[in-house]
Amino acid sequence: MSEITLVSKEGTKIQISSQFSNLSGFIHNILQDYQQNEDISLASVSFINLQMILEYAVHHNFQVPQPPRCPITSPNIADNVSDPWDAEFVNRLNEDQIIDLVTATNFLDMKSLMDLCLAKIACMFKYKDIETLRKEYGITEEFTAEIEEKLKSDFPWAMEAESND
Amino acid sequence: MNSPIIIQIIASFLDAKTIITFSQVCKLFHKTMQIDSFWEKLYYMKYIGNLEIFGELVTGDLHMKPLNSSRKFLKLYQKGALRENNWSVIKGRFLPDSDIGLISMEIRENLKNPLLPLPMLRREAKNFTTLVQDSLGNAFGEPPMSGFNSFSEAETLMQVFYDIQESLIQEYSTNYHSSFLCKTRWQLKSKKSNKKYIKFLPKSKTLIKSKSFFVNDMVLVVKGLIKTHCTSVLVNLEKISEIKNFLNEYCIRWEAYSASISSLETILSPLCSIFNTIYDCYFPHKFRTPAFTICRLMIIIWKREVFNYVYDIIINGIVIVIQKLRENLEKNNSVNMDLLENDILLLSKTVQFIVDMSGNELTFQYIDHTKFPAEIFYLILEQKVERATQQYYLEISTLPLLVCKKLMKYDESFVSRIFLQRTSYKIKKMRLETLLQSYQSHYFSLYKEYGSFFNDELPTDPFMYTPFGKMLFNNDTSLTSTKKIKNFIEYIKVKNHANDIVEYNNIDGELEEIKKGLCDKDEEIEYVNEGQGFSLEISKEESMFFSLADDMDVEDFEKVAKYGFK
Repeated sequence: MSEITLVSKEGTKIQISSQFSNLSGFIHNILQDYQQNEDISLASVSFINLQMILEYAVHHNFQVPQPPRCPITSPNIADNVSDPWDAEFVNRLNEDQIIDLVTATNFLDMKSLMDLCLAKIACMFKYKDIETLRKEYGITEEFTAEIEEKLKSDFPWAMEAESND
Repeated sequence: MNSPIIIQIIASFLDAKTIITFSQVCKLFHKTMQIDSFWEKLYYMKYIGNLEIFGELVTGDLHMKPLNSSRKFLKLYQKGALRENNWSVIKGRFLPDSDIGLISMEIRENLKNPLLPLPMLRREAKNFTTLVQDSLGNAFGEPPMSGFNSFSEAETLMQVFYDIQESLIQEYSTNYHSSFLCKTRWQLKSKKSNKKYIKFLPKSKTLIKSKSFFVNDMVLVVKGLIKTHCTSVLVNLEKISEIKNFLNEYCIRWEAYSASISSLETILSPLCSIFNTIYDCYFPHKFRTPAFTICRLMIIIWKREVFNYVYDIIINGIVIVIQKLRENLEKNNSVNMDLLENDILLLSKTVQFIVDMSGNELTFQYIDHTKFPAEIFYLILEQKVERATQQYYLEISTLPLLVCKKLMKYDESFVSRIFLQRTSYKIKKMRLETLLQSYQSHYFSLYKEYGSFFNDELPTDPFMYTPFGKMLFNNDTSLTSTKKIKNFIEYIKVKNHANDIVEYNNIDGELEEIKKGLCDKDEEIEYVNEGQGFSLEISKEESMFFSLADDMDVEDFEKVAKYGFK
């Protein structure tokens, strides 16, 4: 078996190498009982996301790439991945597109691409203060002064510690 | 996947500092940050993930219940971070920041990845088989190398210590300060009321400017790094559920830690030296006490933070592996000892590492003596091994003599390689008694079956007056016993089993010597050590100071100090 047919949410069919199962746990499981020429329906993956996923898979030659650095060391994703292509790929997307892609990769059980997307989101948090984050994400809820004080007294080490991480 | 899980994954890419900021943004983020499995991942990443180590992995199929501890990884992480923070508190006090940074880095690196291969032992390996035994056993010999070898800037530390020595001694002269000095010096367990003594150093300006406490604080921050390392070793051990794997992992970690002890002794020798100088100024002592060394400090920390939690598993593990080894010997007719070699090596190493925790500078001088005054851990092990051995010997004594002899031979070959002389000697006694018993029941049942036709003209056989003959006489009080025994011995000789009689007599002789407490090696050891002023028995007060037991509490210390110090 060399090729499989994936069907997006919209019903569009795409042919791809069965090696895609190296990257996707979902496809790997499906292929255990796969009948030739059978379509694999991906009810939660849009055509656009499927195209992006396949672009990622083809670039990495259907092999699991090196995971992003953990913890990330800079707000720039390019500094945290070993393949610059990964950074370019994820930088093309806006936040909503990233979240959509995360949902699709979650459906396909594709850890490597999901980690890349989530690492990109993590980069957005790095070096930002509380107020900026609240503003960016439209968070209006406030902690009580008491809780805020407790947080400060519970974790002074995090504020003072040398960056040995 | 729901959003809290996605947030958890996102958070897992962040460092601790960003996570704390992250947790203050909203309640959902805050809740995510409280999940302990999340901190567990961070803890593993920071403290265990890079715990690189050398050594081969030994595994088996003897499973056990892993150590059951309900860890709070957030707390553990917090402790580690606070201890690291303490380094910034001693910055700028007599030492340039760069030196403090270098010392901290050097200690950290030496703990995690000590300079392997291991340094050479100073005496022949047959005396002290491990680095710790070598270090403690030679404590009264040549002083350890002083100064820093690893980086030139650190010479400053040495110089700084000597420059401020006079003023430090002045400052420690108050009782208040000297009691802290004592506590740090002897690793005293604080009384409940004093429990609050700065574990995490406050960043008070007055303290930073003061010369006082500098040496104390320096020791405390060093201790902090060592403790964090030891806790991470324990956390790593806690998850292992296979016995041999557990013993092996413990051995690798302890061996590496011993190498760390060796290198840190060199790096921190100026600190110990000034500490001892100041201490001796205030506590001139009546009798010999061990010096404050990094070796003692690190052994005590290891005992408190690792060994006390695992020794039970190690000791039971050793007994179980020995039992399995013996079972294998019993089941298989032809035994390939090479196949058992790995197990024997693992056991012998593990036992030596229990010995490391059961001796001190004085007692290690008598390590090969049959009366080596081992401390509690080795005694527990010995007791359990003796009990298991007694049981095993009882079982094999019921087997045919030939099989019993063969199994005893195997047992002898590995027991002497695994345990200290004091245990091997006790087991040897058990083995000889069992063998005698086996010979007796074998030959006496043959004797009973032996017919009643005697050749009266047989000359008296010399074997009749040996222990073997005596054994037969003791079991047969009839009037014809002499004739029967004479004929029976002749019968054994004709059957070419005279060797058994010789063996029986030899065993009996050896056993008699053991019962009389005769051991040539003991005399030699006593002669050498007494000449150097080491006694096999030391006074209770003195032993308290030499003991590497996990703690001495303030009350005990004060009681002894009354008699020992002015």
